[in-house]
Amino acid sequence: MSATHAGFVRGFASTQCAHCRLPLPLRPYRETNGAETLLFCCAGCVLVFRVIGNAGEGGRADWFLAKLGLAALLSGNIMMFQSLTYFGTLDALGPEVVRTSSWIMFFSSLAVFALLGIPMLRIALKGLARGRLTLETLIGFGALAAIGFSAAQTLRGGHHLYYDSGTMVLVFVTLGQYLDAESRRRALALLLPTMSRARRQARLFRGGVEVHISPSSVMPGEIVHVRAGEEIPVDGTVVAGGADVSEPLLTGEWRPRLAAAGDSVTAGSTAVDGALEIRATGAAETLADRVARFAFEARDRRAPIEAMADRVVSLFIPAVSLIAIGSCCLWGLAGEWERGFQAALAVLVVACPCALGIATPMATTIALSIATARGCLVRSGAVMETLSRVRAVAFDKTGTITVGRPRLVEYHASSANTGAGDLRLAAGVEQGVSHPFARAIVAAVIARGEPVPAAADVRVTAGGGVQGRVEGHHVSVGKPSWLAGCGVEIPAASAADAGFSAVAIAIDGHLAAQLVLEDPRRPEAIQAMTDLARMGVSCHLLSGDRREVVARVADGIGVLDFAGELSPTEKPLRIQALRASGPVAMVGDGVNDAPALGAADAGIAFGPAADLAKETADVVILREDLLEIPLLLGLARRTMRIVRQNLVWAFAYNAVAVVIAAYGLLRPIVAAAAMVLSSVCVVHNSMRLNRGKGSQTIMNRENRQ
Amino acid sequence: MHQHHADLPMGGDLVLLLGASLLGSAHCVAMCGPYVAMCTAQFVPKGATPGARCGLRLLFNIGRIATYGMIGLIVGAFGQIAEAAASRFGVAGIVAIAAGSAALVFGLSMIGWFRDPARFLATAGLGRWFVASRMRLNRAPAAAAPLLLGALQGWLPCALVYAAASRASLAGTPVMGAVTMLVFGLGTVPAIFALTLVPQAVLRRVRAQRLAGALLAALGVLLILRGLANFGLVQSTGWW
Repeated sequence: MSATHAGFVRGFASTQCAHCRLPLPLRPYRETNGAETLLFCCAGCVLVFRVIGNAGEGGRADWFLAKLGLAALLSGNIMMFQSLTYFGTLDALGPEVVRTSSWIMFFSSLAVFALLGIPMLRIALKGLARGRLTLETLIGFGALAAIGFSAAQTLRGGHHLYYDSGTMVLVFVTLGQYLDAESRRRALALLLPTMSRARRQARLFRGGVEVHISPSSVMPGEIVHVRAGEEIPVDGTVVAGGADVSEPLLTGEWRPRLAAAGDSVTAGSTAVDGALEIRATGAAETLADRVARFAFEARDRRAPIEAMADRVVSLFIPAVSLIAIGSCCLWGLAGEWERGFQAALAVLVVACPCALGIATPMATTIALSIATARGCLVRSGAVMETLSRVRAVAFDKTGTITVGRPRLVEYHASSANTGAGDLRLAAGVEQGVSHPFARAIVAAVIARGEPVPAAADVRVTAGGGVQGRVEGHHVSVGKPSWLAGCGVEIPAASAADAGFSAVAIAIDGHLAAQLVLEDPRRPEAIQAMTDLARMGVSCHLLSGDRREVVARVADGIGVLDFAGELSPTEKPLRIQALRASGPVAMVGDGVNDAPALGAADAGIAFGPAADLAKETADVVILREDLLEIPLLLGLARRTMRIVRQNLVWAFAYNAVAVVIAAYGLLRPIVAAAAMVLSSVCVVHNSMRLNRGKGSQTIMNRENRQ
Repeated sequence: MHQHHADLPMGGDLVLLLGASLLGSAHCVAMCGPYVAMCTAQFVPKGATPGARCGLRLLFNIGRIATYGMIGLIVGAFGQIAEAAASRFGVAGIVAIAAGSAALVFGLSMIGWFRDPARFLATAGLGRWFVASRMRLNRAPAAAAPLLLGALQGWLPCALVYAAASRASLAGTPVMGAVTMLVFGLGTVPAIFALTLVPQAVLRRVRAQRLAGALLAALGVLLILRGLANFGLVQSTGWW
């Protein structure tokens, strides 16, 4: 007791609230903010502290969620009062209480309508102005009719209240929209950090030491080094090197322009095929622009199945209106105008498809979150739908089917060779290149314990090779065919055996050596191809590598269709040809795959892909596991099956309910309950995705590891 | 409903509430001061005359008190229905006991015997709502902004407001609930204006929070006693 008392006094006298600086009570409010724990005297102080400290990131999503939460709370209360009224519980308490509860419902539903209904009506009117009937039209006007009629009843002291139907419809449909937006936002949020982490490093030399720092701490005037395939981290002027620079962020055009010394480059563009040295003019933060662009992109992309839902709705609305008017007139002609009007209203109310609103987003949200948990970042629900229809998958070889880290296995010096120094010189040019062969050569030199010399004027020809100047020699490293094209004499009896990758080194225009590199195949590749074949998906191998090498790999994994020695511009043509027989997915990781990823119906960037590949892809698979691809396609197919079931269910349910309502048999409270039941069915059906094969297989595999 | 009170000009509970709000407003100033300062910085132009400045502040406070009135309207309506329902089962006093318990909990939490019950609001996304709403209001028309920002401030969790709301739920009708809360809101205005003159250093030394909490706890006990008196379990006096 005394200890508590001492603590009480001490705590009271010595510590202050982090916000209001008044003495803390005995049990302060703790909030952990990163590393430090702050103590507050009350929840109010916590809130004000947050409001003042937080600039409101993601304010739009928060505002939406807040509106939805408030509306759901109010609708819940309306529902409660409505059922109390319906079951006559309130009547027993006296007319005063009934009137008060009617007014509570009136004000609550006005608030709900202001929060959710008005934005929906605005969208509906915009659609009408363009002559389009959408889901929003039906729901906006249905809710308006239900709430408006009930409000008139409240003002006149009537008892036919439909507040709950109107507000619940708004809440459910907005919930669907929120889930949709949130899943896209989350996918983007996950996608962006992984993409930005690599790019947000600027590489430069300070006092002769290579340092990697964030672009914002680059001083104007410093020289930043950019490798081929990397994004340029700062605005600046090129001082050395040259490269094709792609600026899809700025121009929306992937086709690159050449940037050489003296040209200015912009942060956010990508050096496609060469190393650059850039004098920074001013550090730039491009992430915000990027987030905005992705967000808009994702928002504007509408899944085709949603478009289908809209098409059906555009038939549904006139039909429902006709039924409503018809039933009103029929009852009216029978002399019961009052009943007719109520039947018409019941038709309108019950036709509001709550379940329809969440049928698609509910399933795609769950599917996207399952995929995300597995390390597959899918850009939107529309991509999910495309994946479900994919009948052919084209794979890049290097880095996708194979590990992508080839080893130097053979070295054949040519007759004109001057000694082992040529490998060192080759490593010099390859140093700044992210191509796997380049890394293998550099690794081989480092493994020998030799220093790697510096190179100048390094220039990469995509799909060909690298050239540059090292220690006064002009050094070219690349495919023998490319070197031959550059005028280097290559002996016909090539040192490379079929089935291995060959790289030749030329020094000052003369062949110095030929290298043989082997890139081991991924162990799970055969299983992945078998799984895909079992799903009725055909596999194709597209590579820029030599035909023999590609043939050997294709044979090893049982792929019949393959093509080698494709340039980056030829790959999209191959994809176009494949698309004739159905949607095609392309899996690749390199800069040279970017055009092909863009050309495919679904581009999948695999593993530690180059920034440009991730940029062009619809899906990024972070984990280096080919089995993810059949699993992802399977998940997409199950998702779309469930979406279709949901849509059929929701439409059928509404159609039946409309008929019952037209007969005047449907009481409003029953209609509301039926609507909730329908939505629960849709949610439950979507939840089945969680029990599906995809997630479990992965979990089991994780456990084994 | 409480016939034996009708002849009293003011219940003891209202005296306690007034005392608690006077003592508690030290905390109000310290807590909401930075919020008000931040908001004023946004809607008061730099070269504003003292008169304009005062007018904007007035608008801000009107917004805040309007929110209190709305809270009163809501709890008054719910209180009326709850009381009607309870009296149908012959347990009308239960509403007073519930309201009193709420006031007691908030009062004891101000003393420090409980962790702040309103902390759930802060964790349940109210903070995000606040941040997001404030961002929206920055774009509101110039005249409406102070009014709306003040209205937003009224929703900040506050033991005093909640204790007052507990009392307002017993007002009998929604309108009377609103009136109770409006009177409470008006009562905070002079205190807040006066306290802006007191230096922070002095406020820090005063442990008014505990006293305010004690008064609120007493208010809670009073309301509970009123409820118990309704059941005939305690003697009814002029104070409850």
